[in-house]
Amino acid sequence: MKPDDPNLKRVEPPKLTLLEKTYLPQILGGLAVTGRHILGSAIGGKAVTVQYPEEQHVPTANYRGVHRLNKDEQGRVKCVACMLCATACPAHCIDIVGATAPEDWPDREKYPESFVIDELRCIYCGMCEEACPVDAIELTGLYDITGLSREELIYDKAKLLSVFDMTKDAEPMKTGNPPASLPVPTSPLDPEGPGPRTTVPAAQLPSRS
Amino acid sequence: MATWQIAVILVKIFLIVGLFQGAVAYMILLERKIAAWAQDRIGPNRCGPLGLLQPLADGAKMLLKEDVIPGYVNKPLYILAPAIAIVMATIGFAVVPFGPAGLDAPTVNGNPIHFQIAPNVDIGILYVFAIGSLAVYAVILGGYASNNKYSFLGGLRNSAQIISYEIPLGLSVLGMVMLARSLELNDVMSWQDRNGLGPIPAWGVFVQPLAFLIFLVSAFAETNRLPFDLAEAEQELVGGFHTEYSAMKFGMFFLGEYLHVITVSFLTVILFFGGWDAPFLGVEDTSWIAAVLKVGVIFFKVTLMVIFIMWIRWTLPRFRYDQLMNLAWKALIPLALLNLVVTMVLIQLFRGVG
Amino acid sequence: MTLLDSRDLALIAAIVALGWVGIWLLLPHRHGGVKTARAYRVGALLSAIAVLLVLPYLTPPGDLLARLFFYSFSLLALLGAVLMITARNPVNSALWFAVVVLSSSGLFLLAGAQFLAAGTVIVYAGAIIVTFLFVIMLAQSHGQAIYDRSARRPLAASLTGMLLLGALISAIIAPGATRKDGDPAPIYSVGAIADQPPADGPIAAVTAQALTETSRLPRPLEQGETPAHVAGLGATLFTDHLLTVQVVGLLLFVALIGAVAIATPKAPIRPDRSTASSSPGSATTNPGGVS
Repeated sequence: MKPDDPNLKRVEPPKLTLLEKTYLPQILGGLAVTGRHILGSAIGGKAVTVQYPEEQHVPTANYRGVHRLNKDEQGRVKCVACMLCATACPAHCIDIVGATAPEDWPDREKYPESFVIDELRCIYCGMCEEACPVDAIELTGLYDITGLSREELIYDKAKLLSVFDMTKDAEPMKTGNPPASLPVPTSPLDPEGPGPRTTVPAAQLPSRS
Repeated sequence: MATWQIAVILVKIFLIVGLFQGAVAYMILLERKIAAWAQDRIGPNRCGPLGLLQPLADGAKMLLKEDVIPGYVNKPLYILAPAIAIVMATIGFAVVPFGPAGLDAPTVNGNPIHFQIAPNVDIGILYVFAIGSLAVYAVILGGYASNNKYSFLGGLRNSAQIISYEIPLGLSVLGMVMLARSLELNDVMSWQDRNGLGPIPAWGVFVQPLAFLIFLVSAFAETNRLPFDLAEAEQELVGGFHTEYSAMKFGMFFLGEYLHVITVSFLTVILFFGGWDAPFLGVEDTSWIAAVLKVGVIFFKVTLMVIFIMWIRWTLPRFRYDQLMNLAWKALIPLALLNLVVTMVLIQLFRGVG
Repeated sequence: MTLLDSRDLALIAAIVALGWVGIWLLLPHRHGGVKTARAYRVGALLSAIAVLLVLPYLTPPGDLLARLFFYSFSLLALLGAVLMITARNPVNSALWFAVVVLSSSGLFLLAGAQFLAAGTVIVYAGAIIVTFLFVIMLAQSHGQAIYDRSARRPLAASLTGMLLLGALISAIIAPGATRKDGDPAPIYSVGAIADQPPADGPIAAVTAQALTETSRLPRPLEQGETPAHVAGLGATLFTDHLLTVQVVGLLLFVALIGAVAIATPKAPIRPDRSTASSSPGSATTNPGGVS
């Protein structure tokens, strides 16, 4: 749009009255606002502060904290080592070593022999959660992870599974598998189709509510 | 001068310096509390009941931190600057009365005990202004000696600001000085007490409302507090003149700033809110009970003023530099001159009557 | 004026000579060159001796405490003055000037001139030297220039200064130059005006009228309290020296107008040659511009 375009509407700043030019009414108005807040939190107890160690902050349901590796109802890791999360991760903090699944796991070909997330490198964007086709990786509401060394905060598979044990009651899995009626996208890592997986959501659905 | 007089003066000096430096520690706590409340937070509350021991922790932190002197600074000036800041902020209290002084002072065996370190200093308020005008050296030297562009800019901004705002500050006070016919702060206070219409006292804020506003704005600028803290604008200048200072040297700048706030609050209360004047306390009452009450009244008013200054800090945003200069030169100085002339004319007209 | 006795003359001559050589040695080199440390040391020694020789001519006030303050302020002022002219960094020079001003106002305070002391601090130390510092610091952004590091004609300058000092000392200590205790007080001193009875003449009439109104004198003076200086000073300024005040005010006003006239940016008298030739557009639109 050119500066002389006829559609351009020029707005003149409003003329201030003499009283407004002194800014005194505005200053008094501002003082009233801050005064209300000061009195409100000093006397009225309207402060929003959470006294952290004594009071624990409960994050919202969509908060993205520490990861967990979900387990299915048989207690096995749900992950199928498809590498989609590691590929999607913008911070390259996920390292998966896949291996052929044991003989008695008929529903998958591979499982993660090692699954390591560098929690210091992670930017908690949630892309891994989005990418996972089997909803094996999820971000929990845990926000207070600490450690005395960098190594401590590189979480391996056992630790990620223990996070699931820790949080499964407070935060049931956010998404189960899609219902059987919906067409399930086939992926090269899952050539057998949805067949075996339909058993899982049936068991899981009650716990989602 | 008798030995006991010197002893009394020394006691008063120690009392005032100790009291106000202690008060500064608690002002910092109060400032943090008010900041927190204005932002719907609670503020420091871990150290002792209600956080009342927090100032001790802050002081210990300041003293125990590593005192870094960067290698490229102008060392004598770098060390001198915080010292100037705190010295100038402290010696300004010499003529500030914190209770009845001069003729209204209570007596012991016929000898008056003045609630003022240096009573009967003829130039009174001029002395405070002289000391205040020297405080700019701390900032400009700190900025120059740090050899840092941010510090330097902060120092330059501040010196121009303080020089500009000294003019309306001085002019706004003149009205009260002419009415009280004295530069001494005691006389200004007793004038406010003695005059007045019935129950309404002749406080400066009522007889010189315009001068009060000008004084308040200029005083904010002189103390470098928001909305005039361009010299240390954190967002632009990374702290300004004290960027390169650490530990107690930084603490001394801090202490100086808060002592300035106390001085300015005292001046405002004395010049425009009647000082120790309260409806039930007269200037004639020179008993000790009245003296103690007057000290209580003046400290109460000063506390309210300090709280108001902090309240303003969390209300108004910072001025832009050209707005700052325009405000001083194009608004405050002409208004102060107008106020001065009108006051002069009125005094001359009513002199025969009053 | 009678001649000084020979002892005083010799002392003054010694002050002038020692101070001359000492300050010349202390001053920066003419062309900003390097001087040896020994030259500075000898210069400092000679100047210190000259400063000490001045001390007998100072008449301190009576009290021990006041005497202590008097000598501290005097020495500080002299030391600051020497360091101010010999400092090689202009910022340090300005700061030593501030020291001189502050010490002088301390001396003013000891002499009872409170208003003068406060005025000196506010005007000189608080505003003028800060402006100096401002300008010096802004000009120094690329390090010190040659004119900052060199002294112009150090030998003649220091001699002139010391000769002036010698003349001043001899004028002060010459018999008859100072008022003895028995002499009548000068008529226009501040304290005397308040006591003066109303006399004939316009000045006296105005004085007598004005003083009772503008000073806070009606109340009784306390023991040991001095009369109001500021009121008396104001009365003197606006009665005895009214013309001077008016002229100085006018002068300052003219200076202010001049400063505004200089500071206002105005259009160039003729277009700049370099910009005119570098941009063809302006050369064509303004063919007569390049003259």
